[in-house]
Amino acid sequence: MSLRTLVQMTIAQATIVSRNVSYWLISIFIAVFSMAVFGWLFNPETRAFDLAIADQDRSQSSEALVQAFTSVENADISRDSLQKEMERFNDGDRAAVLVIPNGFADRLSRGRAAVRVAFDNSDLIRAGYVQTTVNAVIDKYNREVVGVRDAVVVRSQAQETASTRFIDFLTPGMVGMTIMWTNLAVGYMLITWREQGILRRLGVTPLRPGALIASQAMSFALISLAQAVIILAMGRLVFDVHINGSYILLGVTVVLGVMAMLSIGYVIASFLRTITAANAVGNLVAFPMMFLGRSYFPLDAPTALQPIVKALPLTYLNDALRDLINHGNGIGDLWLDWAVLAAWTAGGFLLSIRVFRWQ
Amino acid sequence: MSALLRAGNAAAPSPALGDVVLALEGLTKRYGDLVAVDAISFEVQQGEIFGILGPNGAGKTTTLEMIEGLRTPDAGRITLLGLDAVRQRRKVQERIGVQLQSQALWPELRVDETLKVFGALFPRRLSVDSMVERFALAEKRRSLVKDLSGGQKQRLSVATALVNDPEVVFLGLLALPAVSHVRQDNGPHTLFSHDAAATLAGLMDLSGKNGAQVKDLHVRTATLEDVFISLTGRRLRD
Repeated sequence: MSLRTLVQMTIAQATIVSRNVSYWLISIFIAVFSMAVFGWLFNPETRAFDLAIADQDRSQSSEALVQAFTSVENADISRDSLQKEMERFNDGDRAAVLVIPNGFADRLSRGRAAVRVAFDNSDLIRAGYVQTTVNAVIDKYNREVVGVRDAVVVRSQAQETASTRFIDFLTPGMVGMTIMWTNLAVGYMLITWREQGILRRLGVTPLRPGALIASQAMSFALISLAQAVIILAMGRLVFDVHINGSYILLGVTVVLGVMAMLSIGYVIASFLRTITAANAVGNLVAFPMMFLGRSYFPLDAPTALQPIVKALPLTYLNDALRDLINHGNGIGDLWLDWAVLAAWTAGGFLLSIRVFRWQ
Repeated sequence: MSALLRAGNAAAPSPALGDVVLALEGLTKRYGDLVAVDAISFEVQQGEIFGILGPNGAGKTTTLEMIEGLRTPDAGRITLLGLDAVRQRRKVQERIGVQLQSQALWPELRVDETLKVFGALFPRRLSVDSMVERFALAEKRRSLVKDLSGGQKQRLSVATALVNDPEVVFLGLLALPAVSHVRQDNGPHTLFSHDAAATLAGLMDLSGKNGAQVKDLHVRTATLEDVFISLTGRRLRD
């Protein structure tokens, strides 16, 4: 196959897909709409928060301070050792950790004591809310328990952790979901081409099937990379969703996701003859996968659906995207996800090569 | 197989005229128990306009599809442009032009984009400029295919079949309105067409314009009545 054939076929198919607005815009619209709904209208995490208290002083005064916090309605208080609570904090399970250091009661009796608070700064709105709440409780403690203004001061320390904001969880899932919808559509595209005689027309030219598939994969990869840029740019600009990992690994992950979804699209096109049937089966595959593939929800609970969740390529695509975007993980955390996506790709293409008919 | 009709163009002097460009020998295709094409043999010479006619189910399309490389024969040989059309399929496909029965165009591409991508499938290609000029599509070159009229789509479909400057052209029924563009240039294409009466009429019209005449008429297997019916649209029988 010549390079010219490959390049021109890629350009032509990327043009066809980009002009077929329903192939790529609807899924982006679902993604953006979901991000707007969950990012703005329904954001549960700005209200209740998890506050860890590590009381190293274990005195009457420190216990009184802890009690002052337990009366705060929106704070879920947990008490454990500093080390354990910091681990949970770093995993994104605590909004803040309050440390009452050894010698707190002594210093307080001499007039001035300090507590340390580490805030998770990845959600600025929540961080602000938590900080305000902590300061209000300390002020009240100073006034009502100690009777001296500024007797206890807060030394706070803002810190980025594994985020717990829903929008951070959702954004990579929306990228994965968009890749799924767009690339499964290659099935409708091929069936349409078969119905219109375009595949037969290509069959009487020297174009090799391998060149058609390669150019198709490249054009869909280009479209999906553009979709990922649009969604992640919106996440960054509107909701401050940071990409913590490598852009190169992110690009590789998107392309592997494209390949896995295309291979399912080819299987659909191989087994089905009509567009109506492909539409029905495509939706039958895509809708459950959208929800069970962890695009919207973590779905970690051990339910009867767990084997399905664990088998879906979208689960691994979303997992890899979250590892990169949310946690900034390296290749060591990605290889399993990549391997599963590659296995789906290989299986799908092998099956469709055996079954596929050009006319 | 029913009838083979030839119109040699006596007015086109070409040194290659008379060379055999296509030869079928005992070509056979079976679908289960059904013998769709039963050991047919014929030759087509350079510069000939060649029509293949017959009632539905006669095996015209299957024969064409085997020559064009869409189907593999069960027996027999196809020699096209001196090459084995089965074993050297892609080499042959580089040098032929095929216009199928459907237009087979991407509605989302523009006219110039369509000609460009079809041209890129071949090692040799004519320029987009010359093709839009020749097929009277210059004003529409930046229009999307889906916005073209029926006639414009047919001309573009034939243009995609000629974009590689083929030595042998295979035309389907839909090519008829655009067929005069095919031989506008001086190259002595060999035209090969099928699909019943309208094709025959178009070829007769074309060959008449070019001062050609019907050379011979072969009848095989089917009765002459079958051929006659397919030429006249059954009116005479009723």
